[in-house]
Amino acid sequence: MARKLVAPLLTAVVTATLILAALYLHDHRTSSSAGAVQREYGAGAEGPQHFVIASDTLITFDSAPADAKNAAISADDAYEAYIDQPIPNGTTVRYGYLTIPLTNPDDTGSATRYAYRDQAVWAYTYHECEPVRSAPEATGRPDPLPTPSCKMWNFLDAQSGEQLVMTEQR
Amino acid sequence: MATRNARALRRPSGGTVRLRARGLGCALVALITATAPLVPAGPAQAASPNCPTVGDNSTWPYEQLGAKQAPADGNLGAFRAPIEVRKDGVVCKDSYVNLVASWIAIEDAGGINQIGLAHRWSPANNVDQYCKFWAIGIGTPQYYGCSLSEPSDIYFWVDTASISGSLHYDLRDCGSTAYTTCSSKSTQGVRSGTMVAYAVGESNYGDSHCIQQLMGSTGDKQNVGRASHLMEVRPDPSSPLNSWNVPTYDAYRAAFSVNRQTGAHGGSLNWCANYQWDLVSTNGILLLWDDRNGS
Repeated sequence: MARKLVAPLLTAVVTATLILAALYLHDHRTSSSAGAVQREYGAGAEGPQHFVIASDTLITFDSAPADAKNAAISADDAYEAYIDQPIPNGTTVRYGYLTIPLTNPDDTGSATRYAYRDQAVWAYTYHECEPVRSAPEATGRPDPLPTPSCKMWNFLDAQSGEQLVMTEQR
Repeated sequence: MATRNARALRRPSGGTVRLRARGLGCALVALITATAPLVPAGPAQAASPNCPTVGDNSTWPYEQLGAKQAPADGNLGAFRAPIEVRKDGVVCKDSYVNLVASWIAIEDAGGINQIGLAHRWSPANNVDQYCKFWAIGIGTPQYYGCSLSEPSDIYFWVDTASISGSLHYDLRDCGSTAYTTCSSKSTQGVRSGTMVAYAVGESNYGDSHCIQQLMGSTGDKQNVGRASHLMEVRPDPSSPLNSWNVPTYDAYRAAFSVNRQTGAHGGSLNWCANYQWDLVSTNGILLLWDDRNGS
C-alpha cells in the first residue's frame, strides 16, 4: 500500500516543483530588470524636478507628480498599448512635460521652434545601454570616448499613448 | 525551454530518482502549459540569437555598407529617399541594446545628420523593436514610433532650412505620403564644411556583428529608393526646390572595431560576408539584404 502511494506522491511533488520553476522564470524573464516598478507620481510623490535628458539635442523633462490625474490614459495602459506587455520591473514612472526644441535657442533666441513644448507625457526610465555609434568615414574614436549612462528615457503621450521619443540620457 | 527541460528529464544522471513514464508525461504537460505565455505573439520572424561574449559593443564598433555621394564642390542642399520597413533580419540579445539600421544622412564637419529605421534589441523589455530614429552630431539615436509594420515605405528627407540667418539641416519624416506631408524632427544641425550624402545599412556588435542580419532577405531585398522615388539630391541650398537629380553614387563599405583596428577607419577584416548590397536603376535604388535570410 505504501509503495502504491509513493509514485503518485512523487509525481505530484515533481509537477508542483516544475510549475513553480516555470512561473518563477516567467516572472523573471527580463534578466536586466531589478526591483519593482517605482511610481513617482500622484499623492505622496516628491515635488517637481527638471531633467536634462540630452544636452546635445536639448531634450528636457519637467516632472509634475500632482498633474498625473489629468492624463487621459494610465501609465500602465499606455505602456501596454505601446509594447504589448507590462511595464518592466526596475522602471521608474513619472508624469510631466516634455520639451524637444527643433532649433537650438542659442542660435535662434525667441524664434526657437519646437517639435514638442511642454507636452504632457508619461516618462519611463530603465536601465538600457546604447552602443556608441560611428559616423561614416570617422577618423577614429572621439577622445575621450563617450561613456554610456545606460539610463533610457521613453516618453509616451499622456493623451494618446503615442511614443514621442526614446533616448539614452547624456 | 520546454524542449531543453524535456531532454534533461529524459536523461536522469546515475543514482538520481527515476521517474515513471506516466509521471513524466504529466510533469511535461504541466510544464508546457505553464510556460505557454512565454511564447510571443505576432507574425513569424526568425528568433534573435544570444550575443556571443566576444563582442565589444561599448567601444565604437560597426559595419556600414551602401552608397555615398560626395559632390565635387562639397555642397549639398538636400538628400531624400523612401526606406522600406523589413523585419526579416535578427539582432543579438544581451544586456546591451544591439541594433541593425538603415538610414540616410548628410555628414559634414559638424558630424552626422541622420534619419531612418532601426531594428533594435531592448534588454529592459526583452523584445525586438522596429523603430524610426534620427541623430545628429556623434549619432546617438533618438527613437520614435517603435511599432512599425510591413509592408510600408517611410519617406525620409534631409533638407536645408534657413533659421535666423544661418543654414541648418532639417531632418524630416514624411511618413508614407511621398514627401507631401512631412514633420521636422530636428533642425539643430548647422551646416559647415564639406558635405557627403550617405544611404547605408549598418550593424553594431563589434567583431561579432556578423551574428546579426540586415533587414532584407535574398528573395525580398530592402529598398532604399523606389523606381517612382529614387534616392535623389538637391545640389545646393539655393537651387530651386524642384531641382532634384539622381547623381552617380559610389559604393561605400566600412567597418571598425578596436579589437581588430587596422587603421583609422578599420578595414575588410571586419566585413561580414553575408551582408549584401547592390545599386540599381542607374544608382537610384540601394538594395540591402542578408544572404542567410531566404524568406
